[in-house]
Amino acid sequence: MTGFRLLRLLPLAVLAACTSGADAPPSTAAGSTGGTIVIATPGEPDNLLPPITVSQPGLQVNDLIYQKLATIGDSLNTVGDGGFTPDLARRWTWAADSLSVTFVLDSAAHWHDGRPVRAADVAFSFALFSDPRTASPAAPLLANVESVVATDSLTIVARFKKRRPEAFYEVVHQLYILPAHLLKDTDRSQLAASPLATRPVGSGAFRLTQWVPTQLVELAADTTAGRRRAQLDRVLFTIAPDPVTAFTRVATGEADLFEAVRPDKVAEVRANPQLRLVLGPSLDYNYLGFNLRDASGQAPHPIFGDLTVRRALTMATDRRSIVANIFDSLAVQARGPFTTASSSNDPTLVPLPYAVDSANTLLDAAGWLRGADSIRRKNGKSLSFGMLTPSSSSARMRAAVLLQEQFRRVGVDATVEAVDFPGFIDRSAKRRFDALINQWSPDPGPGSVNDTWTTAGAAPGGNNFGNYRNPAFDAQVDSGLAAFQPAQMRVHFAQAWRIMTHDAPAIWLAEPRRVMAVHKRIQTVGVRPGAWWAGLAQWTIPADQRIARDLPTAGAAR
Amino acid sequence: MRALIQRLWQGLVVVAIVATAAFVLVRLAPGDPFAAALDNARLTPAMREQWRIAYGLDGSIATQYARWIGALVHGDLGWSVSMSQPVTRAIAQALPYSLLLMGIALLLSFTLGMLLGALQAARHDRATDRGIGVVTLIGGSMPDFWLALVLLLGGAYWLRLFPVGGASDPLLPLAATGATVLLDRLRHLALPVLTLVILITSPVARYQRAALLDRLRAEWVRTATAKGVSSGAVFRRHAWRTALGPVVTLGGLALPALVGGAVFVERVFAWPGMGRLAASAIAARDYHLVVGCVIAGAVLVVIGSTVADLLVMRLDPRAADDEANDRQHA
Repeated sequence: MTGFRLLRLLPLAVLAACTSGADAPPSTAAGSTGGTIVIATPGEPDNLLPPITVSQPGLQVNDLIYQKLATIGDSLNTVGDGGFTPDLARRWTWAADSLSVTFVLDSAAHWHDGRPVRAADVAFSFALFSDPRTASPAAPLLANVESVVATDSLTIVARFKKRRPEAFYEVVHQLYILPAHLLKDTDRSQLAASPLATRPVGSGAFRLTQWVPTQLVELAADTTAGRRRAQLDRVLFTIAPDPVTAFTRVATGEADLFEAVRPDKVAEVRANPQLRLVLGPSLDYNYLGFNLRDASGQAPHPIFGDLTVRRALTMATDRRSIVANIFDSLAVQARGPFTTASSSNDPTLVPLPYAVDSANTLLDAAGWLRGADSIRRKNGKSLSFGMLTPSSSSARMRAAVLLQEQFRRVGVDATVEAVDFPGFIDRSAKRRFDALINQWSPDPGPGSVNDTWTTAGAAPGGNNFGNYRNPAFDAQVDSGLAAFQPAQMRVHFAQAWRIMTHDAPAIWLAEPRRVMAVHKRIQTVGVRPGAWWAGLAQWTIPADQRIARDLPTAGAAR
Repeated sequence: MRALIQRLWQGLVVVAIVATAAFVLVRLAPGDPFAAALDNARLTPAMREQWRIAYGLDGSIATQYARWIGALVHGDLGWSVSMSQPVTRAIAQALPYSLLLMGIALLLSFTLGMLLGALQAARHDRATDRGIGVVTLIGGSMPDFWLALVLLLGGAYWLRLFPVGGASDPLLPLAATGATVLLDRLRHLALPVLTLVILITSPVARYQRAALLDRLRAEWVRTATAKGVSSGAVFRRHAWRTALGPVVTLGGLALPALVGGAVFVERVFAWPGMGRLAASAIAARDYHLVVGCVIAGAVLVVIGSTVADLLVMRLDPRAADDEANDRQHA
């Protein structure tokens, strides 16, 4: 009995040590600049031209190479300019009518090819991002920006179409500033073929020194005069397609950081004297979403069109045990399409309870009665459906199996439909599924919910795959997004989340935390939710803890 | 010469059929090259269509095929969406790594396999034969993915004798000598080569053993022995030489592996070769890159089988006679 209890307590003890700061960085003060961080990553950038970059590794590298006008704060506030810190813009001032902002650029900023960054580059970047020929995924967020005009070489004015609480966030968060002198003659419909897609020239803290496809991406600190340089000399992304290999590189000391440690590897990281865990909140949430329309898309789904069934299935699901089983304590139970780090988080929201008896009662009341084989039936049809799952995600595959078992206990026959990722995306977009286990990684702003859960997103081509539609929910989201005070915004979103909880368009599963294994000599600063790499330029390696690969000469033999 | 031209012509037809089949099948699979982009909640249908047009993936399969053939005539295999570069360049970058890895692995495997097979045949039904048979059976039965992971954990993680993966150490110091660089390359090659050698040696040894035992029972071998030729000379000159045919054929069939690489081994050891390229292209539905990899593989199959046939004819004149008879009847 004691042994059993110890086994149960062990993961909790491990997590407690992680979350209580036991893995805090070494206390040694930061030394002078220098050092190399080697990041083991299973993915590779699709390209390094921000308007058309969609892969996560590409976005990470872009954030280090390019600058934006201002940077979002760790609070992830997106209303007004609160919390934003100057980046390329040294300062900004609002017009009295709040319909325009004047940015003054850092006069010392320059491109990595030596040319100065000027206001014309900012105006050009806006034009490039918002050009329909570019087809940039960032363009919709710039839709409220009427114009970006250079009034002199260092001053630009961004004018908005409407006063909106997130107007500032929209213009600064998506708009990477690009070199006009290198891109002005490029065909905007063929940006991927531009040399800059693989040999970027930015103005950020790091410049690209080499990208060897399928092997590595190497960045070096931009040390030219006139700007605050990064603390590290070099950032090296080494690419290993197999996550086991990528993790093993860190475990053996060949690399310094792996950003997605699985729960079953946490103890191994803690036992490794060279490594420490860095935990951070993320913006990811996953869920089992119901398709509320049938195959034609016109009529209600024969099972999930019924609110009672959706609520019953939610109550039949022990979400806490599923999260604990899959993520141990490295995730918390999700309560809606937001995370605890989101600005729209409502900590008082109470999800539907786990109550199997109530679930059975609701299903009985809905006319789904158990047959001889324990499976429920109604009008001769069994309560059976498929759960579409990407086979590449071990967490979602495990969730599918656990859900299947829990549904079986209330007489529901759920099958797991595992498909590869492109197939999953294809069927999701075409809405060819009964239920799907999906994960979103939304933007910091609460506006992302518009694309994924409102009626607008349910239109063909939208990303509200489950066709959830409720005008009352839409109205609260609209009001929340129109609120100029964060507190007012949160009130509306709290109402929206309550409506959604009642409607149960999905079973909210987990909000996984970011778990990174990091070499102990590296002092991490500002691990921002959803973007751990955001503060990489401020990370340091104390001089007395540097190892061979931190020497400036390392790597030159290539 | 005529046979060679005929073979190459047949090969061209085979490559065309295989490439066309790959072109169509990959487009019939669910998803498209923009799966990652489609996962982005903000990408509108209009934008998606714009991307398809930009990459020449709009229109029917027939339209795309006609467009692709037109480009192919000019040596253009298309644009790799997942790698942001022309397909020819992506293949040109990966091919040398596969040639190096698979070339060394095949050379070692065939040398070792032929020696082991010969040893087994020479010691037929003795402990050596049975021992090697068991070892090669076990080696050939292991799943490649599992074996690669075991060797990775054993050689790189527990013993720390070899690097975890990749083709070279990106952080070799400036002062590294040529010998240091060579040693680094060899250390990175060690585990993937070892994995492949274990996997490939077994069938080679079994083929070699079976062929040799067959030849050792042949009449001309018994005749040579009766004439008083030494047993060593009989074994080497009369039996082994003619028993090389099946192994050479096996080698010809293995040549495409030079291009195809070993998908799982390259993935586990992060080896930047063709196998990994093809696998990632399929996973990303990178249509042009998939077809490019298929074409490269098909060309090697044709070349490999042609070279193998020519070698067999050279080693065993009866095969050449059969070929000539076939042509006469045709």
